[in-house]
Amino acid sequence: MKSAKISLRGMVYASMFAALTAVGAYITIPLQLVPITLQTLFTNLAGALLGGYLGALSQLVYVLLGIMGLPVFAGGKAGLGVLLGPTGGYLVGFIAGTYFMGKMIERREQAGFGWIVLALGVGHVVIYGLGALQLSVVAHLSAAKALAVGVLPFLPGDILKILVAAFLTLKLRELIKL
Amino acid sequence: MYKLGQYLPGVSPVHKRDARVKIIAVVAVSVITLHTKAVGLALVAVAMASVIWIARIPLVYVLRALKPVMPLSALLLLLHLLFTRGTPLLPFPVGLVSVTREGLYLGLLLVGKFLLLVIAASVLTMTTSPSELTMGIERLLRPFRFMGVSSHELAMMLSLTLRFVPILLEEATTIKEAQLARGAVFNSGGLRRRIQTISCLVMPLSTSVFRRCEELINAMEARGYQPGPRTYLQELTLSWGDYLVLITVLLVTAVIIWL
Amino acid sequence: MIRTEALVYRYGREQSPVLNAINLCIEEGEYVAIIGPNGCGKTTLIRHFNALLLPTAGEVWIDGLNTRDFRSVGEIRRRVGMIFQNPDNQIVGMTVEEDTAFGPGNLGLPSTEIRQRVDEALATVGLKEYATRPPHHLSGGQKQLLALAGVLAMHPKYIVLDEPTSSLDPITREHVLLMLKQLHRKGITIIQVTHNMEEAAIADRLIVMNQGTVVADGPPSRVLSNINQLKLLGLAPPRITELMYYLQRMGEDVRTDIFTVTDAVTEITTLTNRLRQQAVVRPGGEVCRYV
Ligand SMILES: Nc1ncnc2c1ncn2[C@@H]1O[C@H](COP(=O)(O)OP(=O)(O)O)[C@@H](O)[C@H]1O
Ligand SMILES: [Mg+2]
Repeated sequence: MKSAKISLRGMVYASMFAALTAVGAYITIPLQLVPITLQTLFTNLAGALLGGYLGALSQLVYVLLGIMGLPVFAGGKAGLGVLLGPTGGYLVGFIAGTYFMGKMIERREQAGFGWIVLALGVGHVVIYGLGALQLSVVAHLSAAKALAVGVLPFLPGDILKILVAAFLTLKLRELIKL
Repeated sequence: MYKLGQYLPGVSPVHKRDARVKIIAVVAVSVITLHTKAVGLALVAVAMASVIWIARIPLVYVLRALKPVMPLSALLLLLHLLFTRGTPLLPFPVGLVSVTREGLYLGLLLVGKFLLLVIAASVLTMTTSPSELTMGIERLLRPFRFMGVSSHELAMMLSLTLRFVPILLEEATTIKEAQLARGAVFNSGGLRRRIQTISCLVMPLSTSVFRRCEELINAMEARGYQPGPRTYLQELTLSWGDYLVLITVLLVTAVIIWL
Repeated sequence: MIRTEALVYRYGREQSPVLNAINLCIEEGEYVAIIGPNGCGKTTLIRHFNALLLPTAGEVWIDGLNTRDFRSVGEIRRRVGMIFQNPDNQIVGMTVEEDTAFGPGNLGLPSTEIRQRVDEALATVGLKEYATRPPHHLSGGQKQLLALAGVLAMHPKYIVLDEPTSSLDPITREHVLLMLKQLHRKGITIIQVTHNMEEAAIADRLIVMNQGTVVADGPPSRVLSNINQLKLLGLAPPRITELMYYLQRMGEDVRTDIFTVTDAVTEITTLTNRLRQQAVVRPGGEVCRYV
């Protein structure tokens, strides 16, 4: 029998963060302009707490869950159509972005607040990059327009969520054994 | 009560098709949709309409599935309507921009494609239960390893996630209500204060979640689970009807792509 | 037979042992209850019975299979089914029948065999009509029965339960206990950790633990009637046993190995009858006292 690369622990925790990410889409926090959901907060936490590999895996499972028809994508969307549609790049971005976040944080023994924020920021550059790319290709929008529609409105909320995630990572990482 | 997904139990021929066939069909329809222009889209739309009719899916549910993608669709339509150069549709400019025939065409085409993609996927998830879908994904991916995970492990993780979602939803609601009751205010105060308020919402959720994971790991080990190949209650089997549909779908797709 | 030999367990190298040289032998067909104050090591002990934990020192044998031998672990987990306290955190399937199929699927059984076992197990615990429902629609007691079905589908020889009824209401608790009795009658060995003395009393054998050691081991009639020892451990004996104990201390001639109301009624009626007869023979005002 081929020995598995992934442990049961890893599987359970990755599944749990996939579920948290999905449920996060339903927890909205009212802010002045647009209400933010906690979905990407858990994407951040998955990368920061689980590391690159398991973090990315958790986001893969989250995306599959949405493809299977659970209304877990932003705004209650679901299905393969969303992945292939204009906003599908963000979904791929969550997987790739979490990988970068986790890998960067793993490079330091005990990453401090600043380093975690930086790592999560880099991850977001990946998410935005892939998201805006697919948006501009599928919806035939110029790069500037894609950025204006697909990145700018989310920046304030995402910055807040990165800070919260970094803060929570420092508090939670002792509690999680992988 | 939170309902898992969009599944509408039924006995129609669409419901009865093997999950794998339906997944492949949706992928095929998506490929066709992205590939074709107006005429092709109209044909796909007719095909989808007949599938919906055969599956006896009430129209309300189809519309409900489309609702979440409406804001984005409207935005896309508007962007193209206003920012595409070409023959003006209206004799006078609207403000600084003009609405063009090309813009309208491009916008409608894009939105039509997007909506068809969403409808196709919804028909799949409305006629296939989450378990069947998981099994379908498991069987389709069996020859592959994905990010170091075999299809068995992926199916296990999907199934675990589906178990966690309703539990977490309940837990999150309880915590949020408790905090609102205690007077947590999310949309005022400085940055530091806001970070703290959100953290106080997520902290209890996370700690209870970690304990849950530990117990579940124990329970799964106790029941003899090991990552790797395993067997299932329902093994999917392809019927003649399934083969027929599969071959038709593949042929049609090939023809359309080649043309 | 489950046998532990000088079983010692520490959670960390620096920590003091949670289990201290435990020697136990549980035969096939027994109905064993394990009681003891919180934190005395009951959960830690039973987790050794299906190799969830491996001894720091000493050995654990299941039907002659050593839990340290990784080749035996699969077979040990098939033979020893385990049910945990929190019913929510041991369900993995999307539907009731899929959850029941989890164990057999891990054994690699063919689908037809799994189907047969699942139907049989769900029928045994009375959840057949819920087969295709999602588990989160079940009540706490039903979830615990589902856990039981999941274990039964593995065709175990032993079922080990860690406070399975502690989160259940009295009626569901009765139902689960009845279920366990039936399974015991079918020849399955039951080992149950409990806080409830009435539950402990229905076992054939009662093991009392304290601070990582076994302090009493024997039939409930003997162990539970030792009220003083139980009280020293901070365990409350069944109220009805306590009543008999105080009656005895007041000088009445009654047994204290009584755990159910029916038994108590019989015993007290015998006592009053005896006294009535004595009262008749004995002259004087004493008569009024009992008639
Ligand atoms: N995972 C663990 N890590 C460290 N100590 C533990 C762990 N689990 C239990 N303990 C300790 O071991 C002792 C026995 O615990 P346990 O077996 O759960 O007792 P019981 O089930 O009888 O209440 C307790 O003092 C507890 O604090
Ligand atoms: Mg315990």
